[in-house]
Amino acid sequence: MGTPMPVIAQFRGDFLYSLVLIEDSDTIAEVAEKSAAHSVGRRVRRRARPLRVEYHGRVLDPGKSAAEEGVAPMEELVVYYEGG
Amino acid sequence: MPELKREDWFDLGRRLDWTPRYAPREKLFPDFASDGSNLPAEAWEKWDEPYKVSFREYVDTQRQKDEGLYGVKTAVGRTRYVEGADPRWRGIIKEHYGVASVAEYFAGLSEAKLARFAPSAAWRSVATLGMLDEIRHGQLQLFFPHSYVKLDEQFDWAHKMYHTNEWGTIAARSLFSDLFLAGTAVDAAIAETFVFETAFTNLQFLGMASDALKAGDVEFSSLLQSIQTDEARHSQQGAAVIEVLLRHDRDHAQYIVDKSVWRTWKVFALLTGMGMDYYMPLEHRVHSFKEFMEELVLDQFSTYMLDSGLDLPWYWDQLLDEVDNFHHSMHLGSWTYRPTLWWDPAAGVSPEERQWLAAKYPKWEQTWGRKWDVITENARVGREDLTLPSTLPVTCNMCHLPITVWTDHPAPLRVVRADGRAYRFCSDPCQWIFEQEPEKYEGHLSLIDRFVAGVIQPPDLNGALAYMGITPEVAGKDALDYAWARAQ
Repeated sequence: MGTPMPVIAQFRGDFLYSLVLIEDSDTIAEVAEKSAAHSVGRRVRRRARPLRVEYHGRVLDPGKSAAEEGVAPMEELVVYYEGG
Repeated sequence: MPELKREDWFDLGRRLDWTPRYAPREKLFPDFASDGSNLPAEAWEKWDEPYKVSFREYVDTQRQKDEGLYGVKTAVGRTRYVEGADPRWRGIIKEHYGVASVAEYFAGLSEAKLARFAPSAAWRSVATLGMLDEIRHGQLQLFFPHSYVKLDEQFDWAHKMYHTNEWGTIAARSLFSDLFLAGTAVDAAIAETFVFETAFTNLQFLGMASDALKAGDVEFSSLLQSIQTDEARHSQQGAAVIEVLLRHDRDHAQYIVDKSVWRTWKVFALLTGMGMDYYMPLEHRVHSFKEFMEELVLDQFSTYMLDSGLDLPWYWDQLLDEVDNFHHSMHLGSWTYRPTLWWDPAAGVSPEERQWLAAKYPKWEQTWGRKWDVITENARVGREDLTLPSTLPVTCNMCHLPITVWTDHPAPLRVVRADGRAYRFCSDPCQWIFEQEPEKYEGHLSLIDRFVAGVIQPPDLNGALAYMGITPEVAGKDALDYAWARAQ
């Protein structure tokens, strides 16, 4: 159980910036899923590809936690399907 | 019966002024209220409006307008047009009344400021009549929809809107506070009469009015056109101000114009853009929003600016890009967030409507169609939940509208960090406006700032609706109950 924090997710292919509540102990893969839930199946078609997260120009390690990757509250995460 | 001919007294009457002896002029017309550029009084004596009206003529003309207009209302009232109107049309007029009615009162406050603090006597006379105009407009646009409140509670938002924290209200209130209320008389005249009124109000009060006539709403069409005849007169204040200011403080004139065009554009895209291109039944559409924008703003008003001696705003190319895209994003967003609206929006994306959109906006299918495909499928198979909001969108700290993108690879979010806060912006011009006068804006919290700070409780959609003053009876639904999705 980590510390909850809000982040801003821009899912590539969607048109807005979503407020996403994550925990700093979430893995980046979990952060990606939580972010995608607001776009995929709603305005972006689901694809059978892994999700990736970029933070300040750096692709994050899906196995590490948000805290370990230095994700700060209310900062922008870019989430996208691998392969574009 | 007047004893003197008009030409014998009018010029003296309209410029009644004197050299103050009991208090210095600077105390009667302080910089913060009157003219921040501190032009000499003689400069303002050259202020002149082309179309001149005496108070006697004003009263007579306005009385005739009101007689005619209230006559139309009585006659049309008997047909009960609104009760039987297409629900998509009702959405247009509900949105209009909510945004416009009490905003006219803001404009009246601004004109009252000009009537007292404008540094030219002739200008103060014109502003006095402008103030009466705006009071008239506020009263008309409260009185007309009032007939329908007993029919449909959403019409109550003609009055309620500006008294809430609905997200569109926060955006509109920020615009009017900034442009109409906060600045000097000179700034307000440029922002309100030169930019807001001359450039943009024709989109709604002439463009939408002509659509209204086609749709058969004679009452609404007559109302808007009558209002606009007043606008044509009192909006001439702005050009006269520009003419004087350009000779003495060109930079400041340009700055107010640049700021006002952008801020005004944002709200009109929401007010007129969505209605024209999505709510209006296809058979009644006259032009697309882009076509009206091109004619009235990008063409006519830009020529007017250049002829007045101004440059086009520095962000002109960005405005052109927004005209193609921004209102589509606002429609997609506000339809998705329809429970937060005080009207029932049409989706406007049946196959025939999408054909029309693609013809008017060649990139529409690629940019927006793909998203609406997913929404349409969800609506068709009964997954309404997937078409409704799941979280809050981030809003811009200047225009207070959701920050939206229309490319698959947008640039990083624009952020300005100051005094421990992060301010986020949808566009270069919104950020630029903030950076020119940060002290004016930095104390204000956007809806998202308030949510993150815990102001909105509970921190979910129900809490947000309660915070916005949206009651269950008012919360918007799809205007056609997804019939358009099932038909595909």
